[in-house]
Amino acid sequence: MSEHILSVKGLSHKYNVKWAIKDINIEITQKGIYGLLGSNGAGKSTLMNIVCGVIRQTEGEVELVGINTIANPVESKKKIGFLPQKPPLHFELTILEYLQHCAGIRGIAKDQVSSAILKAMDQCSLTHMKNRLIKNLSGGFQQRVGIAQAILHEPEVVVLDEPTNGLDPNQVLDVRSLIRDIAKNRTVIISTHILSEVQAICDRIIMVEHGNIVFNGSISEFDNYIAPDTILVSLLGMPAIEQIASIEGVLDVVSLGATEYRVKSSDVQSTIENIVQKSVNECWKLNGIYLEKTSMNDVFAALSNQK
Amino acid sequence: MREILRIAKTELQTMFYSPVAWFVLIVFIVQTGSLFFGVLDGIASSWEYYKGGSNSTMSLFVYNGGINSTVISYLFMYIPLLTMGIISREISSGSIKLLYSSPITNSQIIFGKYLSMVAYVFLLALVLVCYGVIAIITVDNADIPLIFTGILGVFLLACAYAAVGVFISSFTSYQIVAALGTFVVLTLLNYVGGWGQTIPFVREVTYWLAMPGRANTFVSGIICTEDLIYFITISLLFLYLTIIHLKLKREANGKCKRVKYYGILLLSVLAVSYITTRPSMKIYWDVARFEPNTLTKASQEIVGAIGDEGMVITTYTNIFDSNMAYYGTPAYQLMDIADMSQYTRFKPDTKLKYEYYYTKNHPGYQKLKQRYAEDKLTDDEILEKVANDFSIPLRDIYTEEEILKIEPVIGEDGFQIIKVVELENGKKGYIRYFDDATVIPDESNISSGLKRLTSLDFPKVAFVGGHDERTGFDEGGINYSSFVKKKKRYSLYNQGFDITSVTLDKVVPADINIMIIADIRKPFTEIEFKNYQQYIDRGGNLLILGEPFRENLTNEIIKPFGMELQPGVVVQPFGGNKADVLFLRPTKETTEISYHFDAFYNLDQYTMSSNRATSVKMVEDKGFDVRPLFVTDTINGGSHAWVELEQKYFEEAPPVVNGNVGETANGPITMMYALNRKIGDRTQKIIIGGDADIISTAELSTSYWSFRRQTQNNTFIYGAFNWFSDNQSPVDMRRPAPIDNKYNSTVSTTRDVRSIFIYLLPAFLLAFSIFLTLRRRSK
Repeated sequence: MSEHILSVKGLSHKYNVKWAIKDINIEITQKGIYGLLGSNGAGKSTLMNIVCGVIRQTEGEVELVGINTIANPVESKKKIGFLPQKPPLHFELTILEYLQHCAGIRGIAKDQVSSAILKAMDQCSLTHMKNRLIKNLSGGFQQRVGIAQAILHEPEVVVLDEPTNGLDPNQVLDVRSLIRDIAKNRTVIISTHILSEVQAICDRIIMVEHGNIVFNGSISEFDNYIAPDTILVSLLGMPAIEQIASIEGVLDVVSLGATEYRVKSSDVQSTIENIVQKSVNECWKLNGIYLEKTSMNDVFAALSNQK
Repeated sequence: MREILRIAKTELQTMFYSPVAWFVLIVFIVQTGSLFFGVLDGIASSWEYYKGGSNSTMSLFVYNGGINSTVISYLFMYIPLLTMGIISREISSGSIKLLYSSPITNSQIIFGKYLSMVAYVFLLALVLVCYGVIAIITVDNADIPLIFTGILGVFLLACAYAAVGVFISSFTSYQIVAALGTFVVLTLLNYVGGWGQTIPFVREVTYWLAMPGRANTFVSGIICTEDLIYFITISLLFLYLTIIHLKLKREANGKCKRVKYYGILLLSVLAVSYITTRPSMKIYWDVARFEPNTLTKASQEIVGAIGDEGMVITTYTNIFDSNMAYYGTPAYQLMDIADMSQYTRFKPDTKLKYEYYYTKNHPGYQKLKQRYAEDKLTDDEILEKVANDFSIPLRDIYTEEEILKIEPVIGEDGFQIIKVVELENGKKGYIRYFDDATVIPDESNISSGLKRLTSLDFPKVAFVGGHDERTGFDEGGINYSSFVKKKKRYSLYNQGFDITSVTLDKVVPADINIMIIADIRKPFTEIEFKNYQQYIDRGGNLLILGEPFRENLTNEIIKPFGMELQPGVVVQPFGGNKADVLFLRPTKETTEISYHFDAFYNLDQYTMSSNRATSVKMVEDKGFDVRPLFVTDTINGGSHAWVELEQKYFEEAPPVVNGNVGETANGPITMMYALNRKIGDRTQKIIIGGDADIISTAELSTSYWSFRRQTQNNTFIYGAFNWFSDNQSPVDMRRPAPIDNKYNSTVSTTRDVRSIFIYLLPAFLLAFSIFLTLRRRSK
């Protein structure tokens, strides 16, 4: 049995009287990039903060590489790197000074500080500007410094809270590439709103909504989470809509102009067969027929409203 | 520890990369430099121009305007600027999450942050150390421990303030709010000491919270374990409050958990405070030279002589005595405890109690009746009102009858506030309060009161009566009640003497060892002479004062000593005085009989005033060592004094020297002699003077300042009786004279160094900080 990288059991947390997350269970046993999805207020930041030891849960347990975060908070924090949504930077310091500070509080052995800093800066492409003041850096580089501090001590799990938030498109691409790079030998958990980002870099998705996990699976599972119910048909014979509507199984037909039609059905498989049969019979010159795929947005919307 | 140091280092880096740390440092140097060099300049000038100066270390560091005591009073304005961002900046920037998600504890975070503050205030303390070094170099025999103990006090206070600042900073993400909040809290802590004094619990709490008072103890040169532990405790209290606050902020907690955390902290602080404030747990180091904050050796001996008997000091206060009641009320209790602390230090098992009573047999009652006449208050209502004003529960106030049963002396003393000291064995002593500007008893009064509990000898003074003499028990200007009345601070009674009256028709009781015979107006009878002679023969001490024109009666009783008062009246006209008002000066020999006369002899403006006096002459050697004690003025008028034989009164015309009747102005004229001889194992001591007015109530209250003379007739009383009592009383309150008087530099050098400190050094630091800021900004 493989060791859990992250194990969250029955995790619940409430602020005052309101539960922010309720009975969350997550198990991560394989390295990779995990996307933590959820709409605003869904509880993903609470979950991340608890996992990283920033706040302490009301109920439940979190184990990082087999270390309980409550029983042994200091040891467990050695296994994790965290980039909060707002990078935890000291703007008056240079990158080098800041990373030295981070190395000190992360408990990196004195003789390994320099090499750890060099490695992190190198990985984040910061070496050439190590003596620059953080406040003088662009948003993208500030984000890189934030990531550098999260990987400085070579943690087994890196948690990044909306790492591309507020960056321009080029910076977003840079940061995504960096994340992919650092995920090569560790587990990365990303929280984000941007579905394309999830699609671009994540291997698996964990979706939290209303304090509960509503989805936990691979990207393709997420894509297919909702069965498609529309068929796109191209008929060069351009039959009347009513003719198509009369086919068995068809619920609704919309002309998309010229030869294209969108057909809504109750059972797509049999309806496709019926349409093919009918077009052959009526010489409608079937040019193409395929299922219309469900968009991630639709899945997200569907999951968000599930409860 | 490494993590703590790392956090502290980053914090210091952040502070010094921002202008605040530099700004505070520069302002601190300029402000303290101006203060220090202001005082030092005064000392330098005084030495250079007049070779004057005394106790320079105290002036520079302790007294009003001294650098350490002044810094304590405005330290609360600096600290908020330093601590405002220490945690709030982390909260607002979000970098607090870096700390929270790092493998460090809350304690490490807070102690790291705090350590940076300690390092910074250490830097401020180093500025004071620079002044200390300058003082050590420039002032001969500077009191080094005093300087550095004071700086330690400033440092500890700043550390405690910083802990408060860290705590406040953890509540907000706005630095300005943290700064204002800290400023308000520190201001409150600066003034809280005087609040709620009438409510016992609140009084204890506010006293405990008042930090500057504790630091002042260090400044005055005392290190007390209580204060040392207090600063450590209060700093840890605020640090742990911060730790708990941050911990609870990160956890979803029920009220129970909060109560548990804060409860444990509060109980720990209470326990430490309780233990360390027990008198028996306190250890004092009076590090200042000659231990100015410690009881004199004589007082220590008195307290030591009390032994192990348990001692209770009860202050009985007449709440109707509007002039003095305050000093016994709950509002004054903490100060009273402080006043008595030097005694409880040497006798830690001393218990201080406070009791209250009221009586209509006191002028204060009439005053209250008048005050509330318009309101038509009844006696009961007045009592209730006064009790309310003083916050004393009515049930705790005794009636006159009740209090007299408890302590009859209160009635004898005219129902004014008094401290009754009682030992377990029933022995009692009394410490009185006085109707003067100070009111409360001083060390000599308290020690004299305590002395009555010991087996130490107590000299007994008797006024001889029966010949219309002047005595201390009769009122009126010519009599001596002002130094005999129990209500008077400098009364012999409150200085360690017992006072009584005696007639010579019986043998003088054996316990009387000092007799005063002043201005006798009737001759002694045969039996009186016999008893008088017997007293002389047994070696009894005597103060005999005569008056002009009645000298014959006095001469009869001073014949056994070979002395004689001369006829006529001594005059010394100068500068518009009444010719028979004399300003007497002590002789060198005077200083041999008592240390009380040392300053008197050395300071020219000190004088003993004498109003109509005759001179004293030795006519026969009777085996006494004879010393002239006081002579006519040797400063003004010089030898222009003579015995006026013709003119008796001088209000209308000044006297003239008439050689034809034997008048010669060949002063100075001896006006008083001291005689002594060995009788058995003791020395008999006698003083004979030609003016009975010198110690009269009227003369003691007369000022001759218009003649630029400061009268020292009181000093004569203490000096004379100190001699009579073989130095037992008054209790010797002398302390060695300060030796840090000489200044080793010049005014111009002092001013040069001053310029370095308040101009050059700040300018250099300013330039350096600007350079640093610009250089970093360009990165």
